[in-house]
Amino acid sequence: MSRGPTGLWALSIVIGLLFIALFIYIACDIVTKGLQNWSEWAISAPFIKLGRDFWFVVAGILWVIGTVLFFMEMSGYTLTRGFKVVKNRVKWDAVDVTVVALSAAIYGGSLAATGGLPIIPGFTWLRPGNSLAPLFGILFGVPGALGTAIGNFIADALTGYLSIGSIGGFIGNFIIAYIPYKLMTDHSFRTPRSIAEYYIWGAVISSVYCALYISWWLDALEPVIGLPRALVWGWFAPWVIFNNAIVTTTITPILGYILYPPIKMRGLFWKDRLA
Amino acid sequence: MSIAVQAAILTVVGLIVHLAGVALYFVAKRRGGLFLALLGGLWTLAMVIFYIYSTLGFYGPMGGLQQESAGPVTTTVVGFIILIIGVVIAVRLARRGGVK
Repeated sequence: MSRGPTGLWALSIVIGLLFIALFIYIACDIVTKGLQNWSEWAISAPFIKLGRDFWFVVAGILWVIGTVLFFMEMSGYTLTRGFKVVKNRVKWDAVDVTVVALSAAIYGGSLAATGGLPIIPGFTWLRPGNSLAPLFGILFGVPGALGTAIGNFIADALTGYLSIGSIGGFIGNFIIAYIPYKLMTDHSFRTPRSIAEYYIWGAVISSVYCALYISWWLDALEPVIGLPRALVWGWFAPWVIFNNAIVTTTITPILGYILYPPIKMRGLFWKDRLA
Repeated sequence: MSIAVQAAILTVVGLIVHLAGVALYFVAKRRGGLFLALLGGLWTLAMVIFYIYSTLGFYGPMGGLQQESAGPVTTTVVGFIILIIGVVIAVRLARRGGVK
């Protein structure tokens, strides 16, 4: 861990610790106020104060962008940093298909393994497996992100949360993996830039994006799915942000630091596998 | 809309994606068909799990698992089995290597 000046290392570590402290504070706040009193949680305040209409519009824009990006990647195209549409260069050979299968199995299995431990029965469960979602995108690229999406869908079936809402969860989980894959410039977890970029894109932005994406879907399909809109924005959205970020800020960077070298050495890192 | 209708819609979506993938791969000889077939296949597998759990009464009335049933234990066991399968695939792939 010597690449980069000491000042940059200090800055990246401070950024990481600030995000960890923020989500530990949110965890303490939720425990203190009680799981049932979601309207009093600090993380729910922005959603309740700004109101459903505001978040429906903001999340609607993000939903359209996320959905377009998902189908663009699935049809073999991607967006460059200069906003040009180009071929995404994923080979979709036997190795990529195997990566999809292993990501789906590991992510879905790890989510389901704790599926018997509900936090609020009928609503959500303990999900330490969430820590793997950004990691699969960072290490395996689009095939890893797709495996994450499938894994979440299988876990929904195994834990009793499968509905039309799971389509939103499918693409929402793809986005958690896709954002850090696409927006980090250094995926190694070994430089100050990599650590800082991970915390911004992989731990926080992707968690917020995923929560808003799924929440918009649940809100728009409220007559079909039946989850009240007040609950979608006051409880579900903040809870998804917290449930993702509490593990992606703490566990994922450690896993990434350990797993990057063997994945890279074996030629499985997505940049080394482009056509 | 009842959960049974929602499940039927999801099952049809999974089957269509799977069959489209198979057709693309074997008829049109497109490599992407293999991944579509896998996506549709795993999606349909999730629906099979759903129907088995529904039949066995593992789901609670408000969503989630029925805590008094064998659902939570079964899910934990199945989850670990799937996780182990994933790790085995990962180890085999790592031995083989990715770059040709």
